[in-house]
Amino acid sequence: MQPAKYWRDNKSWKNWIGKRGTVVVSTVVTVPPSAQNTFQPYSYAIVSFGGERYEFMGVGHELLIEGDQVECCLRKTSVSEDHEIIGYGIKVRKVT
Amino acid sequence: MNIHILGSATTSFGELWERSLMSLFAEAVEAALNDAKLEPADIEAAFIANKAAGSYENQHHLNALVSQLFPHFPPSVRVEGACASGSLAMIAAELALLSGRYKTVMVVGAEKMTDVSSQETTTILSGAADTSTEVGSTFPALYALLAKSHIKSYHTTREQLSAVAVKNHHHALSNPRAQFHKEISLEQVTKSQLISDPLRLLDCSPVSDGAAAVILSTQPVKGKTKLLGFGQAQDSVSLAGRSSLTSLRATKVAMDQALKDSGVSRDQLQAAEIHDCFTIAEILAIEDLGFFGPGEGGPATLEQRTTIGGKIVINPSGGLKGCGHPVGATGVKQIAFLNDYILRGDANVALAHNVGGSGATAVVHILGK
Repeated sequence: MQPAKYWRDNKSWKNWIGKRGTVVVSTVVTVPPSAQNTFQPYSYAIVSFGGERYEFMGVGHELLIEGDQVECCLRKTSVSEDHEIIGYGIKVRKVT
Repeated sequence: MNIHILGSATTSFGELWERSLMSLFAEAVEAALNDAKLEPADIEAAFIANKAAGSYENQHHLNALVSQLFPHFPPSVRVEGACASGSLAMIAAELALLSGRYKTVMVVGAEKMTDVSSQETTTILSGAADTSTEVGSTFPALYALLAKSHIKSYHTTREQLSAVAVKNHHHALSNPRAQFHKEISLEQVTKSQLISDPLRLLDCSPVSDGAAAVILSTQPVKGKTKLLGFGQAQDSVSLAGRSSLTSLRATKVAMDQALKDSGVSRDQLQAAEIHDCFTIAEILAIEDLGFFGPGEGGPATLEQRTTIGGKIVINPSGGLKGCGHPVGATGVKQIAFLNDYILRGDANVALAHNVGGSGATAVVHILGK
């Protein structure tokens, strides 16, 4: 993860945290990219927020399915080498 | 479009431990020249297709590296468009020829993917998604979302997905360059490791090394395959930005352009090399290209209407699934394979369909005698 990119991206977090949407379609990733290896298996979903759709990882091993109500939250999104930044970003969790 | 294929070549595809990226490029270049009975000096320019040598082995500046395979160092350009790099390099070459700047050029694509772990390859290939808005995505995951949407809308079955892999492995048996020469069964696909629900290991095209080259010319020649037309279209890189999750709009638009450009009708097409990076991708493609209606691609495949001898032969080379998918080479290999296929009389008019990412780029070429 590039620190400058990370610094730019984190400025948008406040716009997302707490935002609620509905899962349109989802899958479970069991063979992830190396930076997401520690999170597998994780859900990956297209989420609708009214008129707009975005893609997110689900938190932890939570299984997301179509129609689930979800909420955006801040979580670790990547774990790289020891000397690199631990990446945080927006994931979605089920609203119970 | 007055462009002929003077010669073509494809290296073996597979896990080629003993081969370097540049040795693959060199083999394809030399073999294509031999096939065309041309000297290196006859090539006025070269168009190079490669997705990720910078990531795989920190090797950039491929246009110059390939140019130095020729004693006269012809002008050379490297083109990258994810898995559609090969067909985009074809278009760049065709436009250069049509401009009148050159009369004879070479397109050569190659990828060396097997020197890194499968997890590193997954990371490298995921760079074809939007890395700022699709964090944690993988290509199996993105196509899994398309598969789930297709299953929901059209009741596409596990057996229909598996039938794509079974058919393409069967076709690859007669392709000496193919990575796999082994039949697989519906049951083996269904029981293979789950990668991203509902896609399993044998739904996925393999990681491959390989290269392919074609020589194109506007010089008048007889008895050679002709490029009749092409189309190219783009769409949102992110799946979330698409108007549909059950079809790829870019494929539909590129197909319409190619048919118009070539003056060919769908009914004339006898064979097609399709971008089957995943089994669902072939089902989407044969529907989006208009060979079958929405939701009919799966049943048609299971009923062997796309197998050699069927309504239209889909992926006679084995496709990406059976022949292999060295990313930068794939779009060029499709043209090289169809050139041979047409020259030996297996089809008069055929189509190549190459996709970048999860459908943000689509290219269609139509070839004939």
